[in-house]
Amino acid sequence: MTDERMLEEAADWLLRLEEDDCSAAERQAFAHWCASDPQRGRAIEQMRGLIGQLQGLHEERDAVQAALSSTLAAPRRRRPGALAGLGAALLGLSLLLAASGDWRHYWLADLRTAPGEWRRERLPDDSVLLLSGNSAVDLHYDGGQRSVELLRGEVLVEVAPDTKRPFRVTTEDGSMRALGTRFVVRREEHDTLLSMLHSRVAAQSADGSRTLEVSAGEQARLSHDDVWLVGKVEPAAVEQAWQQRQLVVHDAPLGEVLAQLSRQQRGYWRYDAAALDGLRISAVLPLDDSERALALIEDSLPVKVRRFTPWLLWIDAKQARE
Amino acid sequence: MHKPADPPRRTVHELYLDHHGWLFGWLRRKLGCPQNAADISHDTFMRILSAPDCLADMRQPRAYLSTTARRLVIDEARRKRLEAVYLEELARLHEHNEGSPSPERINATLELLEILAFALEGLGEKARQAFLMRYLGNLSQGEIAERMAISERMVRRYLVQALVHCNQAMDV
Repeated sequence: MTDERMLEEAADWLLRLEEDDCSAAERQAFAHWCASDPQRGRAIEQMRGLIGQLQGLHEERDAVQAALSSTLAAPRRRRPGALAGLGAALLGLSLLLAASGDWRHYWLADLRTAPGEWRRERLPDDSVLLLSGNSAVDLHYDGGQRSVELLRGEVLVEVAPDTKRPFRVTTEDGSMRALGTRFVVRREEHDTLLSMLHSRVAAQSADGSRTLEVSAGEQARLSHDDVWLVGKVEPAAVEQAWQQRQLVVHDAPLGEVLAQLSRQQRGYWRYDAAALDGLRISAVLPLDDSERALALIEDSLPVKVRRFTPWLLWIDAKQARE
Repeated sequence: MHKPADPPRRTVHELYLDHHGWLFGWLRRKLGCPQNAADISHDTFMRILSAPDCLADMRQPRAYLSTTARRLVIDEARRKRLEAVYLEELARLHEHNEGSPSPERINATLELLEILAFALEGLGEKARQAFLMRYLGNLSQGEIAERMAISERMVRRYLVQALVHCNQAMDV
């Protein structure tokens, strides 16, 4: 196993390389030091990975610093620290409740799934919601309306008929009024994607300026001020993918595919979307088996997956020179 | 889809024989205290005993063991606190929701915070301060020396200490 002396040398080298007066000869000596033992190279890579993670949090440094200090300064294990922790958590929660802003809702949503956890929920009116992993919705049901607010992730809706109360799914980007129906709604980074499986939906942009009727087999996007058709889907294939927790992609940019896969992971995936630009993939990938999904991607595209810990991996484009 | 050759069901006993030595060694290096390391590795196996189903699909036993152990070291109450303080601080900083990170980013940061808390656990406070100032705050060694009112040589020593400490926690 890794010996401490070697780790100290590795750390020492890393610091030396950061210093202004580090000479070319020293850099060469470092390269030699690394190359002469794979353990050393591994240690350096891991340390650099950690440093990179910290540097990546620079913009949020105050919040990160506060969180780490409060946790690490806390009473150690097996001392009566649990109550203090609960107090802090409750204090945090009350502040969150008092604060405004959309993202805070995620932690307080009516229904919420963890990454990799699928959930089927029967609503009071017998409509059914299927939440994919890492999703959250709020329900607004009363005598006059049935409304599901999709806060995050993706949901498949099976609407029970009710002539008195229209059924709506809303997101920040717009609303979708069901006309007796099955459909999938997914929140993406810049807009909302609607896939119709059965019957029709009236989709409206958030500002109310555009409305579009979308029929079975069609896909549409909603943004703040627009709704437009983007293509076709095969309803049976979409249903099957939901059943089997698969991600089916046709000639999709790798960055988008990784974003979808990583949403179902507890660990942290890091990749430079710009560096992966131009790589596209067509595949059926398991959403609940990330190792196999990554292996399939590695087989079909020139990318390399590096694992720093079970919770952290980097995905890079392979260098041409190999 | 490749069902026929099911791997033989592993027992907790076998898991223990195969990996206990490794887990204990890893925790001892991480925690720097054999007593604590023995407690945590014992509790880790107890937890698996109480949920034997997890054995069936345990493809990477060491990853599973280390995750379980990590969750015992940074327990539920501390994870909650970590999450609450981070979100509270974000709420304070972005009172009008201007420029606040996306939910996905917040989620990723929370995961990462948990890993960092575990990595930094057991490290001396000054070494931790110096380390966070250097890489999270992007301060130079000279600036850190000034703020902490110590010599640059001492800053450097803390940084080496922190890098070694964290590496031992991450190196599964």
